[in-house]
Amino acid sequence: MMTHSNETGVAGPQTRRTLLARAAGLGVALIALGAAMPALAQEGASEELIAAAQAEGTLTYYHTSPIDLTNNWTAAFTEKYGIPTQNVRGPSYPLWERWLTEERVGQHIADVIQITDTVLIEAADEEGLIADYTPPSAAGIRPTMKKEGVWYTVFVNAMGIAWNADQVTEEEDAMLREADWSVLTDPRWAGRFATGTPASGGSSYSYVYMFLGGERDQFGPEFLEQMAELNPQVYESKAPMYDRMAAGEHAIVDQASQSDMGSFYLRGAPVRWVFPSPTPANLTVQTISENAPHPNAARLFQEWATSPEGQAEWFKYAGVMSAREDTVDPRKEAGADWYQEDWYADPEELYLDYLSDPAYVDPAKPIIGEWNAIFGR
Amino acid sequence: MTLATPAAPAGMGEGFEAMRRRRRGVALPLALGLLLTILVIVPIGFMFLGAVRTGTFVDPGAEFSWRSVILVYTTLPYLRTLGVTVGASMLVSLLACVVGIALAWLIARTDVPWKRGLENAVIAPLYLSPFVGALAWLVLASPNAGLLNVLARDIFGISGSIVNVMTAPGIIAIMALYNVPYAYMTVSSALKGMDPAMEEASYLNGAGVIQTAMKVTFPVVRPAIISAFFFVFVLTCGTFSIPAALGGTQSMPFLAVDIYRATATYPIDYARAAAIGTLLFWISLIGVAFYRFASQVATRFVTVTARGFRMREVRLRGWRALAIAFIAIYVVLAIILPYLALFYVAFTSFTSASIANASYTLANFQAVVNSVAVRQSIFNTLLIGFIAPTACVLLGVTIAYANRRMKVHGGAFLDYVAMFPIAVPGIVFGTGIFWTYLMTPAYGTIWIIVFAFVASYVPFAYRMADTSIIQVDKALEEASALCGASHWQTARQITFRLIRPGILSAWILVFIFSVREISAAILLASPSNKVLSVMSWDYLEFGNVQNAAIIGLLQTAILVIGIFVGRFVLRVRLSENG
Repeated sequence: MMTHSNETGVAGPQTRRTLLARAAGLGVALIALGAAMPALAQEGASEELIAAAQAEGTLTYYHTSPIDLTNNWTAAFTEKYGIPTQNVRGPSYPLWERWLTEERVGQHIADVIQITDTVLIEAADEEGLIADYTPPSAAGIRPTMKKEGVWYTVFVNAMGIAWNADQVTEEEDAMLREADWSVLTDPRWAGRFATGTPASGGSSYSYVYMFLGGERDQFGPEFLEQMAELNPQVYESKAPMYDRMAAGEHAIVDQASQSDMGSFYLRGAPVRWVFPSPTPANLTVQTISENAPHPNAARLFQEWATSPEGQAEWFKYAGVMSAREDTVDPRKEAGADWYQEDWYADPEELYLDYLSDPAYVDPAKPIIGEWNAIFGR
Repeated sequence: MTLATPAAPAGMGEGFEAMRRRRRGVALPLALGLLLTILVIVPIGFMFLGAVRTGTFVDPGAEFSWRSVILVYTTLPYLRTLGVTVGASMLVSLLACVVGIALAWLIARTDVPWKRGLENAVIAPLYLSPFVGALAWLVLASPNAGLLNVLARDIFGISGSIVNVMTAPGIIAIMALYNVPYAYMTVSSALKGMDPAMEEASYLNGAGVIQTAMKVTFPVVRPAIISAFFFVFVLTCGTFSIPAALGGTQSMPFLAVDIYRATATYPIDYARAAAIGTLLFWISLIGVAFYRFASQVATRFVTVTARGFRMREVRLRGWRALAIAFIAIYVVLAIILPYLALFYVAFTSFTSASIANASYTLANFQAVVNSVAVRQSIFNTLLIGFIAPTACVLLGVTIAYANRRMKVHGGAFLDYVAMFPIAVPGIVFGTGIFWTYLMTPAYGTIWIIVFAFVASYVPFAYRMADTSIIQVDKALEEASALCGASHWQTARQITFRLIRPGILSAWILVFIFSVREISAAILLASPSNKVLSVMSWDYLEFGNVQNAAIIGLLQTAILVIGIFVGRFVLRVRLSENG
């Protein structure tokens, strides 16, 4: 399973602030995470591509990642190449459906589309709607996290169990720190637990897929039925669920993503989280539209997004895992923020090898119906 | 046209009739009919067509099928949800009307103090987007972390929750709260327009305050009340944001939430959304029929006459304190508490249930204010907030004038079609608009949103313009005609001048709707046409609640400035027709 290499880079214990200041000030310093990487990045974007992209002048990016983080991220691209981006945030399935419709009628608006469900991209590729492009930097993306020429992972989000430390007893807190998934069926959480529907987007779907699909033998419908008996509050969208958990409305939630929990932690919320094994992880990937109105800008952006520089840029805003072996969250290097907490541990066994499962790629997504039936939706 | 236009023949009435006959051309009704067809009928047609397809109109695999229609019209879950939707919407309407009528009577007919301030306060919930209001109430009164419940526990040692908005009664109460201003405005203008001589006569004959209110005032304003009831009913049926924000179908099954889920969660099923939309359409159409009937009866009375009248105030005496307390409770629930909650959320780094222990910050404000996307959406909101109401009111006035004063051919058709959009929930109408303009250059620009808003709100502009025109005593126009003024001179100098306050009120109302609207705007949002309401929804769903609250407050600021300009520069009064 995937592990993170902790090679060179930002050394020694440092505070988040100095790290961020350093990152912001030096920008490219983070590229140094892999000794050979700067050269590769330089080679990645050819002068011709950069010139052609700059001549196009702009880029439209349909994305599903959080609004502000993404704006900050693309701002770094804009700063480097002088190409402003128009970012459109949407929930993954409706956004994707809309993009498909636009393409089918010839309204070509989006250049690059980010989504958390690779199955949909591959269907669109078969329809001839995806551009074939292999960014040179994408050579560094882990082999399981790309489909050459079609889609490339920009970051990986592990999903675990999170709780509000003010809403649990010390005994419960201790129990949760050591928890495996069975903790989610404990009757003590009746009325104190919230979850999200797998119908909301690729990440929730991947999460539920582990229980009802890939690891069905271990968990299966019985496990989810026990969860459903706790009568959890079901959210259509996860951001409001995390917010209400941080506020104390719910003691615990599942589908707790590393990047979101990290963001709440940095804002001072009393949240803690663990990654029981196996830990479902979801790929946030992006692809280029065949009829992108700014094809060169799209290619340059794809190149930058998969480069060590683009990947490292995400770490300034969110605690995600990189799709590259050579790029690691400097917080981890420095043992800063949640990495210094005694309750925190990285996921040990990432569940990621589901992308080509026949059940996973089934466009009918029968698991959603099964989940709906279990949770009475 | 000049004064040399042949003067009206002998009788005044005949003169006016002759003038009308000459103007009963076909060009104007044809143009209006065509415009309404494109704006209204085509999108609604797409809704009905969409309900009988298995996929979108451009999906190569989609085919004709009754599956969704049969599912929605004949299976128990949907029929049960329909029952709950209708029942809950009636309750919302009833509650909103009872409170609205009481407030209208107190402010229009009694000697409560600070009337102008109170009236502003009663209408103020209009300035808050209902879903931001629901967000505020979620922060205030969710069962575990609601600020009110936490305070009650901390201060009074109460266990459990004192108030819970994530329940069916909670959702109904919050929806009612945000609909009170509509009931108030309708009933208040009927009360203010009513000739007080009738009540005076009742008092002179020895009837008391209650007897007069029940036997004279109430029957006269009854059509306005019925009209308000069905208006709120239809609006409520199509509301998805409040029930969605307060726990969705787990708290209360609601058709509009089902529509949202069908368009936002996998598998995306536009056919099911459209089929539910058609179901809501029929229900709303019944509501609209009652509303139309009642508002036609309500406005049959001429109230803008050349004769003046004096209003008599009921002395509340010992009841005054109680009346003020009632109004104060409403103001606290509808305005003060929600805004306190929004300001609290906006200034905290994360939403904490403990006010004492929360970490306060200005960072959210700085981030939002410095965001280029937010600035763009403020600009778009202002632009659309100006163009949409202006176009909408122009269209509404033209239809009303063509109908009432020019008696054009096909007037009844125009009247019906102009009222249709009220019956279509915004989220379904948005889908119809999407398909109507997808292949036109308007797609992806602010114009598609302008078209959506004009089509959605033309019923309001039209109805208000129509009401104003009916209330103008024809004797005034006839006098003008008799004095030799041409048709257009009369229209310009008499009719339009007299209905100006009504037109401006309609403009302000559509302006408020345009700044707050969310359902259609979400579906039509593109990089170049993002508006504030969409930004706040995006932040709530995919970013952070803090920024959603700040954008909600920004929307309020824009609305308040707009209303301020309307009230004090253009001298518009939203709550009156005169």
